[in-house]
Amino acid sequence: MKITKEDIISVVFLLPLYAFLSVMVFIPILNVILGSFGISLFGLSMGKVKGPVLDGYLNFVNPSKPYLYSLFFTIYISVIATVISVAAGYLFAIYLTVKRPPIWSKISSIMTIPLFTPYVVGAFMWWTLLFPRGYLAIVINRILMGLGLTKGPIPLVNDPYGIGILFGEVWIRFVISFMIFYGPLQLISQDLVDAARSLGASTWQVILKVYIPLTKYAIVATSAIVLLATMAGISIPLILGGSWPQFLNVMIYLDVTKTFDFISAYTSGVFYLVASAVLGYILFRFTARRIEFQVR
Amino acid sequence: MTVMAVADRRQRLWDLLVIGFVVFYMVFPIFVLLEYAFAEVWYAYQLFPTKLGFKWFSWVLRHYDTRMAIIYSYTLAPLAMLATLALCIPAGYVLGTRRTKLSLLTENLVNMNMALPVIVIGTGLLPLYFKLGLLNNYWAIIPAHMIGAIPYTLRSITAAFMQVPRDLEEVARVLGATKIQVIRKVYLPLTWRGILAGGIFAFSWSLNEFILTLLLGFPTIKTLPIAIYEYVGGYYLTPQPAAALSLLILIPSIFIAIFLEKYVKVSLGMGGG
Repeated sequence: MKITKEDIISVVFLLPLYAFLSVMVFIPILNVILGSFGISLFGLSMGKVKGPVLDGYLNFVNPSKPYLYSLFFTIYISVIATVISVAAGYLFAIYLTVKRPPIWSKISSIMTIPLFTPYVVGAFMWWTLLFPRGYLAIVINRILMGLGLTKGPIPLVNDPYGIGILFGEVWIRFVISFMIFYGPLQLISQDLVDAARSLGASTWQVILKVYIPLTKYAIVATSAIVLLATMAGISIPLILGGSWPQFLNVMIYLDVTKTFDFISAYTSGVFYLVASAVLGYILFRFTARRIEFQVR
Repeated sequence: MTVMAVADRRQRLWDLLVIGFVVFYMVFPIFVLLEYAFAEVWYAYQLFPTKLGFKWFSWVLRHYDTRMAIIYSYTLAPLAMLATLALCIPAGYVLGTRRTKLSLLTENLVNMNMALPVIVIGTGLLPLYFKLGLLNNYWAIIPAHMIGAIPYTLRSITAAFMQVPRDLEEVARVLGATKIQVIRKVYLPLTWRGILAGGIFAFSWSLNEFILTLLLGFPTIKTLPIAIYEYVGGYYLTPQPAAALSLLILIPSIFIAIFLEKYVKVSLGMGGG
């Protein structure tokens, strides 16, 4: 194979990018993976541990340690946030597609607000609404107490149930879900809908038999994107989460900054890498091509 | 009134209810943020502030810590933008004009970056920065801010180069243009929108970046998101200065988004982890 001048130019132009990615991304990831086995890539001490060991993993699965519970809490809250965001985003996108309200085109840009709001600011805004004197906390607690469901006000932020995290996550992820769904829904041929209508299908039947089957891969892809983003995002659980239980990424942060337990942080990090790889695989291998095909 | 008119009215009522609820859900948190930022007097037993003003804005500008946070945020962002562009323009040129296996591999590697949790990269970087003596170093925060920005910026620049017909470069070369003239007269006029959008993406990402700065720069380098976190994430909660600081970061973000949508025709979606 002959190496052309253009090949050399390509390599030279891409070299700085590869150097950057190697130092700032690949080496740190390798460090996390090796560090989870107690091996330090930079020759630094890992506390009492000298690798290779499985202490980090044994610690992680030990029920008396907080990590396993933290992992379940992270998955539990992320799944609920994903289900709510994806369902709400899909229903709203379907509503706009089916009903086509004329007012929407004039105010659609409002939907982009959470997209350009920094997560820290978004989390803080929900904190002001949900802390004991926040408007939403007052309304929700009055309703709950009025219905006799609670005896006194319950905490809605920095709470042990992850309610605050759910509010913050859904506000941002709902918009992301809606935006991903709205495009593919607009691409579905109106002829299909008209044909279903002429055969006597009701609006619900059109949704169930036309729109949902034609966007099922978009639903899977969006769910993977939202789940990954919710599990990985740290600003919202850090600000709206309680002191216990913690999101796993908050545990990682506390491990490296407060207790300097790097081996535990790296082991939790490996979990995130595996989750990213699995969800990324679902997203790109199983859905991306089919969405492309579907849209065509 | 006919049946059609009744159905139409009912439909409009539904539209108003559904869209009204979504708009309220989107906007209400910002309204509360504004209340806190401008509230000069707000008693605990009252639902709304009794006196509005700019007290908290002058407060955050007067205090050294918050003033430095503003300076750090708004100097790091343009530097991170320039560094990201310096890395992404040559790479974007190759990826946009030569669709080889190397280009596809590079794209996949860069896109993989987007799926990786920032906290994991941050914890992996921490010992490296420690070993090199770069913790709490202003200049060393710039590459950390570039990690998340590169995938978006590179994508925008690659797309811009892809849209330039290959023939144009060849025609210019045949007519005697030098490589520099080809870049200046052919590529630049056709790709500046994509490069500008990529640069603004990087600027915005850096402005919003939180966890890497917290891990690698704190407590010496405190940017606006960290200053906000300090006011609400600790035991002593002081929402008013946090609200004022939030507006200092939110308003430019809104302007950036409007500018991109209106003039560069791209939409921005980044919250900085």
